[in-house]
Amino acid sequence: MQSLWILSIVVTLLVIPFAFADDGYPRSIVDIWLTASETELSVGELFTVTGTYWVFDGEPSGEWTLRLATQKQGIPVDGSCSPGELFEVLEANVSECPMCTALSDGSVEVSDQQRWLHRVVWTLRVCEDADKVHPIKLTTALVNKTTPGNHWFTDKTKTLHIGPATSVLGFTLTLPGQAPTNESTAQMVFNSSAASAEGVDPCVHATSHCQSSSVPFFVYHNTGTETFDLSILLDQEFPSVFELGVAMSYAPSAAVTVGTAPLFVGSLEPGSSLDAYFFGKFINAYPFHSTNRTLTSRGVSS
Amino acid sequence: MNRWLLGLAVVTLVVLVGCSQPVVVVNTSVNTDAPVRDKPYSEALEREIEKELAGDLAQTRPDYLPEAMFSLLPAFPQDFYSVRTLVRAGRITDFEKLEPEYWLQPEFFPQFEDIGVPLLQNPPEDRWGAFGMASYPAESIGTIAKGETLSFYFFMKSNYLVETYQGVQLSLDFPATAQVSTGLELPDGSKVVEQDEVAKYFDVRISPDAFLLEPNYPLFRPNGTQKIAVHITVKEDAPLGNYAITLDTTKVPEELESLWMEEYLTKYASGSLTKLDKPFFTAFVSVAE
Repeated sequence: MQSLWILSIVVTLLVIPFAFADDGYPRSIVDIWLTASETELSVGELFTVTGTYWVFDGEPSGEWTLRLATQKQGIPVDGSCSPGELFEVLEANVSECPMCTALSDGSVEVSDQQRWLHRVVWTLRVCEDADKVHPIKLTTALVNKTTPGNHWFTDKTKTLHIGPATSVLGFTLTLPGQAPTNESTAQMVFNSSAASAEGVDPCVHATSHCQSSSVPFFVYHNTGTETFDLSILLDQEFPSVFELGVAMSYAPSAAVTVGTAPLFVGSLEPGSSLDAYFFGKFINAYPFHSTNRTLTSRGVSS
Repeated sequence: MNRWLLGLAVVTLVVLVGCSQPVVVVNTSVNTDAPVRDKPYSEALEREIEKELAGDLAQTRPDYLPEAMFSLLPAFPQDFYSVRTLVRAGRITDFEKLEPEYWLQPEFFPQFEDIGVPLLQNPPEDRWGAFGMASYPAESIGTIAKGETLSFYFFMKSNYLVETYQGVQLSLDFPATAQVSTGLELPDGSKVVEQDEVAKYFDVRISPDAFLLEPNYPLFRPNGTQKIAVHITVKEDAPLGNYAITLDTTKVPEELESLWMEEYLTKYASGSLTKLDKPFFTAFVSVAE
């Protein structure tokens, strides 16, 4: 009988899902996934971090809480931006973690006993000191409620980059109608068939695109990152036969006269828009006369 | 090395020769702390595997606007988002070497996805953009030794929806006070610069200082964004300390205004008619020995 050779290979697998302290337990959370809504952030920015935790065995059972932590700093990612802290937790959403309870300090108490995927969505704000650390490795810690020093850090991290505050200045000003043709241009024109008239709507030069109760003449869009106060002014006063008024709604009687001094129109937050309605007032104007002025819009950082 | 190979060959030979029966595969269970799968694989994991297998790791622009809008721009770089991340994290600061294929993409400017895309996805049907520009970064901080030259770079673009050709003339100023934005600070930890009659300590060269911003709507154009260099030389007699140098739009010279108006007729707009009081760019300079 021929002999059967059996080649035996012994493989030792060492799995260390946790980098834990040396007192041995719990080993309950065996894996974790962290995803962030953004990984490039600036000071003051809000973002979310989703932690998916696989709780494997009988623990934790109310004895432990989940907390976000940073790899260098350790535990302090909590509900405030104390000096030296990098993030503050605004909310811990546990709607997808039925056995979890969100605590006021930004941590989450886990009371599940069995294998289960837990999902916790943390909403964080970047603290001012965060831009001094590059990069930041965000991780999760399991903290003993009664002995906070007894804690474990997961070895799964999410790397975040906190850049300088990103400052963009930008705006767009739109007018009624379509883009200029060969016969029209970006000018505001008031016409009156009477020597005296109030509440006259302007039109875009040489077009039938005019202001109306539902069509403001100017719409400003703030496309930058800073709020600014908007004001308008003329390069020189109109002759006494004409007054230019501006209002934030279609209300000629509420219009304020525009002059050469900056006239505050309104505040514009990033991403918001502002309507401005203009009204002309003719006062014994001369027939067939015209005059031109330059109207400048200014945004002042507020 | 050869001895190892020989040994391996011998073992293999012995196994083949020695086996007169089919090889029995024995499943050995290895005890680990890893969880046993009791549900389908994670969809996210499957997606990542598919992506990797398809070689689909190149970075592409999401399908949020018609592709034709970007057709005049250089091809979207495959590493665009990685480079953008490093720029925003302050780890790529040498804008001189940054290629136009990166900074011409509208996504290079912060807020594009948050503000620009929604505006462009739903443009007003009864209105049109007459004026508007944006700058990024709006401020930069640098340290410079006396007698040395430091160059800053920033970008100005024609803003969303704007359909006019905007003439821009940049002017220089040394404001009495200037403050860095929240989250930034000067090298000595301060945030505010106060100065008086300091222009004499600096030679500043702006390139270009006058230019035309072509419209970025409805198509993004290569000349819709400009890279501007600010070369600042500190004179030897400059006192040590912090200084602020600002660049802003000002009235376009008549000759340029006429030239551009002749070329673009009614589509020309003077870019100085609508402006922000905060300068489009501020260079904070810390003068050291």
